[in-house]
Amino acid sequence: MAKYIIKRILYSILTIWCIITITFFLMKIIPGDPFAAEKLPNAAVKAAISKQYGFDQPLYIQYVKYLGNFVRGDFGISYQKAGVTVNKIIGDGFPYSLTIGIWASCLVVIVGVSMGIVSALRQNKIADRLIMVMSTLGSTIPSFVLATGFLYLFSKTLGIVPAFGVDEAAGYIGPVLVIGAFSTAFITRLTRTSILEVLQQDYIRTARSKGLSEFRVIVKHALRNALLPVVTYVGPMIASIVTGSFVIEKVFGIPGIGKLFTESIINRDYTMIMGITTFFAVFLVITVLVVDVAYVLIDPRIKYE
Amino acid sequence: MSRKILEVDQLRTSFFTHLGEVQAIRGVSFCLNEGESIGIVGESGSGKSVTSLSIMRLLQHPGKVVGGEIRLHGENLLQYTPQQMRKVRGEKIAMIFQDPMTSMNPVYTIGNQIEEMILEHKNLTKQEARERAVEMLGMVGIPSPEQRLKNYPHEFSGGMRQRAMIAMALSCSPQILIADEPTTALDVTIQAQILRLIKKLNEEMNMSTILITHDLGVVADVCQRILVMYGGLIMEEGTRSQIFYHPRHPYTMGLLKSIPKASDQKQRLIPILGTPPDLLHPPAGCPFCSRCSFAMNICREKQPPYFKDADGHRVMCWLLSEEAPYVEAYEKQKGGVRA
Ligand SMILES: Nc1ncnc2c1ncn2[C@@H]1O[C@H](COP(=O)(O)OP(=O)(O)OP(=O)(O)O)[C@@H](O)[C@H]1O
Ligand code: SF4
Ligand SMILES: [Mg+2]
Repeated sequence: MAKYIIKRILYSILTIWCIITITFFLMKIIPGDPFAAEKLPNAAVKAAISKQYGFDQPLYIQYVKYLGNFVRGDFGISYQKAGVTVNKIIGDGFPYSLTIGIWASCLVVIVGVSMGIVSALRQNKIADRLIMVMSTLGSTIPSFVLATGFLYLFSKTLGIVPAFGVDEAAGYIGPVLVIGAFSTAFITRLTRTSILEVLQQDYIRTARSKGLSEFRVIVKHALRNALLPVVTYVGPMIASIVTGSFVIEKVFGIPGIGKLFTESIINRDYTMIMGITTFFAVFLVITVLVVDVAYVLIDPRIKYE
Repeated sequence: MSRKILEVDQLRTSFFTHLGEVQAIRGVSFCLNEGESIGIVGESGSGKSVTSLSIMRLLQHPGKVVGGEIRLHGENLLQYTPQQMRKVRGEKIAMIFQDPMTSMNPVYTIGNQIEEMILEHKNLTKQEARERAVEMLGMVGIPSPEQRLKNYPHEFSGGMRQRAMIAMALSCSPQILIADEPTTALDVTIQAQILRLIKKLNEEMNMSTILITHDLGVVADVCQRILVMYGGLIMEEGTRSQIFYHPRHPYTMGLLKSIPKASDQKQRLIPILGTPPDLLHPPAGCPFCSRCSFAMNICREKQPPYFKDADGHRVMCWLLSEEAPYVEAYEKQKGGVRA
């Protein structure tokens, strides 16, 4: 078990390194630079700025420097917002996305899994049909439509939540619901399908033939097996939810990391892009790692592979 | 006189599919005596599993028992509440299934799955249940059972897993064991070991056994009485020697010809040609009609009743009627297999 975890951690580090390297060189290949748009007085000033950011040095030195800084947790200084470190910008924006992300993830897992269970156990009954209609809507309506609709109804018409920003706690309700909608719908379906499939398995028949109660058959024998595919999906899902969504942050006026990322791409703010990409990569790799380890704990068959 | 423990009386089971009613069991009657071991034999699709699942009331939607009675000690199980039925399953009637690979839950240890059943039915502490599980695993011939208890199903071989299934099924000392093709998924040597084990436990625990198989060879050593099933009906019932040495039904004769014999290597196996009847539109006459080489006009029109050949030997075939003509080829095959 310990060996497995260590192996997984080493793989994760390797993955992060690959992502950083690829992003770094891609940034350098792309033509144009962040200062192209600026009205720089003359070549001398441009050279000075280049020197300040280390552009005059050979590529491999820049690369090694970047890696070194990364290991120390330093993502450098933003090109656009002069003098402000990338760390500071991420540190300002991320907490919003994280708060929304954590709440949305809880919503997705709790509501999605319970609706999936209800739906499977009431297969083809009214509750099931209703949930399936909702989950179809949830997975097909684009999030900006949901967001606008939400604001129209709860903010403009009913006035329960603020129209913009997250100064009040109520401001989080909209973003959490809208961000969670798609994944909730997806997990509902995934859980339903998975339970229905597991209920056809021979070991469920065995469990029933032992005289166990239906409750025990479902909770002990069906659910644990049925939730395995759900767990696999939840890791990357949490990562993608927590790393924010530009559209939703824009609509609800949240200064989150999704908005920062998109802005930095538009502005060719290389250090910002690098910083956020790397940050996301680390985040994703860690969630996947945690999920994999959790998976081993619930499925004994994987341990010895 | 042995006492009847289980009586199946005119059982009819159907599956209500979108194509219509599939009449899987069309009036099956038999009884099982205390301590007795009977075999149900028939080709794939003849209704063996559906019969056993009907007895356990474990049919899945869209399957439904539509008629008849299943009496355990004289009480009709079909009228039991789900609560009462749970006390029957595992405690009075236990079941083992064909594929030991998939019949155990992969995410719980063997011990956990056996103890769970014991705790469900017996008033024991966890510790006592564990001891009982160890005892059972030892009894079915699993070495160092204390350690093996902690293993997961995937750490067992197929034969071991089927032994563990048997240990589990017998852990609450049921009165009846239904084994649905318990050896089909195993290779031949393991198959023989498992059959010997079932026979031994059947004798030691004075339990009644229903052994289901498509292979007459399998029931030969284990069962005292054999039911031959076809198209959702019992075609012939008799003692082991009646079925093997004095078969009366053309289908049974066909099955006998398809058993490989160790004594004669060169003999070719003769499969029964043709396909089983369509149970969505079951034939009006004898279900075996389309494949029977002795079929007569009446066979197509009217389902034969049971004719009694000897004591405890009944046959559903018009050839046994007094009005039936003398058919030489049929008379010749009456000898069955002579070992
Ligand atoms: N879920 C189902 N839906 C429709 N028909 C079914 C269903 N399950 C079984 N049947 C019907 O019941 C008949 C008997 O099936 P059963 O499983 O009892 O056969 P069996 O004798 O156990 O065969 P096998 O040797 O393949 O296990 C089949 O021919 C099939 O037509
Ligand atoms: S009743 Fe007729 S068709 Fe059926 S087995 Fe006997 S002879 Fe053959
Ligand atoms: Mg079967």
